Amino acid sequence: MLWALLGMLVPVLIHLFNRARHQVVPFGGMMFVESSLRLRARSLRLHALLLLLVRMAIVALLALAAARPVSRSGGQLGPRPVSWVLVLDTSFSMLQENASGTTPFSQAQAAALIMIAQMASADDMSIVLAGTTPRVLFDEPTYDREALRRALKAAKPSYDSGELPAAISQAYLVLQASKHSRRRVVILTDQQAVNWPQDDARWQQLRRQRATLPVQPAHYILFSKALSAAPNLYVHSLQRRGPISHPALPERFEAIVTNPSSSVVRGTATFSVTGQPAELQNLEFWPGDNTLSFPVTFAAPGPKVCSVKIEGDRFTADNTAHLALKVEETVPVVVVNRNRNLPEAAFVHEALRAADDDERIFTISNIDFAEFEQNLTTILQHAHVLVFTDVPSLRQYTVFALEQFVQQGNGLLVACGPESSPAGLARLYKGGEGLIAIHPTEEYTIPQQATPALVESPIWRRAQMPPEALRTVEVRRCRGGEEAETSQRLAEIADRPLISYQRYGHGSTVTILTPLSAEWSNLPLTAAFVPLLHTLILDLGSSEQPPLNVDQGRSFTYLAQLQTAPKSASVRVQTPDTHYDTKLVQDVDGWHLTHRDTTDPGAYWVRPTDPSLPERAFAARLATGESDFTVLPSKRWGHVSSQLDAAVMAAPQALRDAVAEEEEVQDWWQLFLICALLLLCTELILGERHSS
Amino acid sequence: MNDMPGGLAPARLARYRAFEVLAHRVVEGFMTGLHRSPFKGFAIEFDEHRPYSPGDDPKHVDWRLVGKLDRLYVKQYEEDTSLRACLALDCTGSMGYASGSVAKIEYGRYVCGVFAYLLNRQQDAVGFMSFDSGEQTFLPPAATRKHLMAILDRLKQCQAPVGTQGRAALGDVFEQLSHRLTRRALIVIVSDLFDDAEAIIRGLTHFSQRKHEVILFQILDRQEATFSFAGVTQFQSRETGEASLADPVRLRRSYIEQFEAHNSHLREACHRLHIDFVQMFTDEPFQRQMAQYLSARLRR
Repeated sequence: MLWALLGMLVPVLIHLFNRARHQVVPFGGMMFVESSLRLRARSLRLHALLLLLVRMAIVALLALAAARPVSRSGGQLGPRPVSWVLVLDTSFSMLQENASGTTPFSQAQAAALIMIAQMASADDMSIVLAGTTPRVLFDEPTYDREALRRALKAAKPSYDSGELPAAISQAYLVLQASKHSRRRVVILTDQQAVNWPQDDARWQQLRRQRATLPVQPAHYILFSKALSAAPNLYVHSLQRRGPISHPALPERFEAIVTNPSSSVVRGTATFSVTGQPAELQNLEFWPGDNTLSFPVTFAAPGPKVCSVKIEGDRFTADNTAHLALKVEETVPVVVVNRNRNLPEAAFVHEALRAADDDERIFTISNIDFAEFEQNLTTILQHAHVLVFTDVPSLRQYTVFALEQFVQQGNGLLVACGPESSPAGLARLYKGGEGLIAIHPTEEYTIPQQATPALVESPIWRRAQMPPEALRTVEVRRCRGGEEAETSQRLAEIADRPLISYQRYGHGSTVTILTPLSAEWSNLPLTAAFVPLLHTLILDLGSSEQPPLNVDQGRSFTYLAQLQTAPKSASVRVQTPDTHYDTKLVQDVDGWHLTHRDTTDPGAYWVRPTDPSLPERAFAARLATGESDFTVLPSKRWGHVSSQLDAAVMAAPQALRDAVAEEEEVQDWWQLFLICALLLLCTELILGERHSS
Repeated sequence: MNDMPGGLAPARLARYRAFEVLAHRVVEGFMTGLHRSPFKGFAIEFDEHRPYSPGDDPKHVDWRLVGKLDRLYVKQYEEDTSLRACLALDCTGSMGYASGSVAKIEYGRYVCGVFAYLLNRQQDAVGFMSFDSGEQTFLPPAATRKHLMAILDRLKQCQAPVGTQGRAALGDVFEQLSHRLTRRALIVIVSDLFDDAEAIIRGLTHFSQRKHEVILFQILDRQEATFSFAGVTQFQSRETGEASLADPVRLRRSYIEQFEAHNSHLREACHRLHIDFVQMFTDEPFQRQMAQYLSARLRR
């Protein structure tokens, strides 16, 4: 920056330029001009010279101040107060335990407490928690040590990534409110690479923001050593394999446990249902994903939270996964036909009864279409799966009600019939965006003995239905036509869809394109029909409404649809570490409650006081992005520290030494700046006198 | 300068005919006019008798008294006489300066023109002298209309060009003028008076000693009084051509101090010598300034 000393020439050049650039005036009162010049010539020259020197000195001092000269002569001007901002990494990886059982987070907390204790009396401090969203605990640096200690002890990791650049940016905003001439940003973190983005643009943006600060802060990064060599097992996912949970149905859960290390780790896995351990397995976790299977039979219906917990590493925060579900008491199925006495309705009814004979999963109702339309609202409130067989044209209002029904997480099976009009079915199809995935406009005849091909589908796999089940089906006539992009074929015949499936909102729909009539095909008469219908209805009834499992940080909603107001709207919400009481709110859908804070992964229970309101369980899934712990390479450390102009250290003692060394360094730029300002005042006074 | 007369035509100068230039002092003259003569002669208004002495014109003898007293007495009359005046216009280079649209010389020409017209209209004899550093022109006083036209012609020819001939010595010029006017007269001097103040006062003293009445018009440009130039400027003398580079902002206070001191000195001296000192600025309306002075003089 010393090249700026050349700026001293600027006043000289301006002086010379001004002298060279003058106007010529033939003047009358020259006798006064000449006598004034004679009187003041000497003093004017002296003043001009003095002014020139002062201006050159101002430029020189500003250049020196910009060069920020320092000396290690000790604090000749005395210790000056400092504004501190602690950026505390609250990312998930800070919970990784080391050999002594402590976590980087607790180490960072301890180091921060020491810093608070050792602050000079005139120093002030603020704290920024670097979670996914940075949180500033003190908008302005505070002198209140006790408040700082309390805030620090109350801080918790966020179970997610730490956005360090965003947190440092917040620290700069806090420092703008500082009144002190010295400022420090201390970043307490671990070596998790995810927290230090490789996007250089973000660091450069941070540098630009820092350049706008009136006083540049000193940066220190105090990191705790990560257990890079230690294996970190984590539960990647926990899923239910069956479509619907019912006490009569054996259920199976699958957990995927990831071992990111390259060695086999021995450990245990415990599966529990609503806190009750159900199964313990001693296992060897091989590198990569390990799938664990837990067969369960629920004893009673109701809300449940299934958990799997593994033990085998020191980083335990990501060793548990939860899955909330509802064990159904029964699945209400309503079969709607043009006439309940027609054979199509009878086939469906009998098939479902036969399939459900032992298990009693379904509650089956068989009604006419006219009755359905008459009691539409009541039926849709109580049914979970609707089966339409040979339904005539639907009214627009009925279509709208059905869309709402499926959207909210229910199921709809539409079997085309001879009387089903293309125009009526078009209202369900809605150009490919409606309830059904096929617009059955075309009616065609298929050669005798045609055999449908079973298309590989997760539904068949889940139902363990053999591929040969539909081989004996003979379809003589079928419907076909436009097929939506969202269509998923479950079965086809001569490369044309026979059974189609699609998701719609939280629910799903199935369309069977051949009427369940012996005139069209022998499908309802074959042995495959009963397991086929059973599988389809189970799948259509498997949807959760509302979703019981949410990602960490997302909200969940409790909803109870009641005809009448409950005796009490009070509920108790049990979170993984605490509980609170609140009240349900009524709206058009029913009585509901939305819980937003799911920072802690685990089970959340909503328990109403009124027994007529159902109890529900929800689960927040851990975002395991940080479980795959990667240590920031030393090269990246160097890059990051140079971007921040930060000193990186591993021990609190090293930080204290560095701070002490900084205290000894005497900054001279402020002195130069003050001198330049004084000279500027002198220049103004001299200039004024010179003018007068 | 909207109200500046468009030329020196008598028709334009006639707007000042409401004013009469009355000499406050007694001047000697031949013609009968408004001005009281110090000489007791033989005119219309009787004053006193005196004993006849040889050489007196016998026609002035009061024969009634001779009859009554049997002694010879002659009648004496108080005589009104016309005014004798001379206009002196400074045509040195400094009078040519104009920061605006009107130069000082132009303003001075109008002052002289107005006086010439008024004096001629009241049958007074008016003379004219212009001077610069080198030469002087002089028209002796006369009261004819033809003479007025001659003076106005001469005024039109007066210029104050930039030159290198040097300054006029105003004191010497005034002294020479006072010697030229053998009788008491009203002398109207129009100049910026940019010369040594002591020399000017010395010249004015000659007028007083010879019992002339003097009206001194100092014509100034506003810029000369305020010196409100900006930026480094090379000032060039309009009379000598000499140039001086100066920063007017830094010189202003000293300049104004000296300018004011010079004018104060002149004003005090004029007061002492019973000379009317009238300062006029070229950026102020000519008609108003002239009317103010003439009406004030009339009231005295």
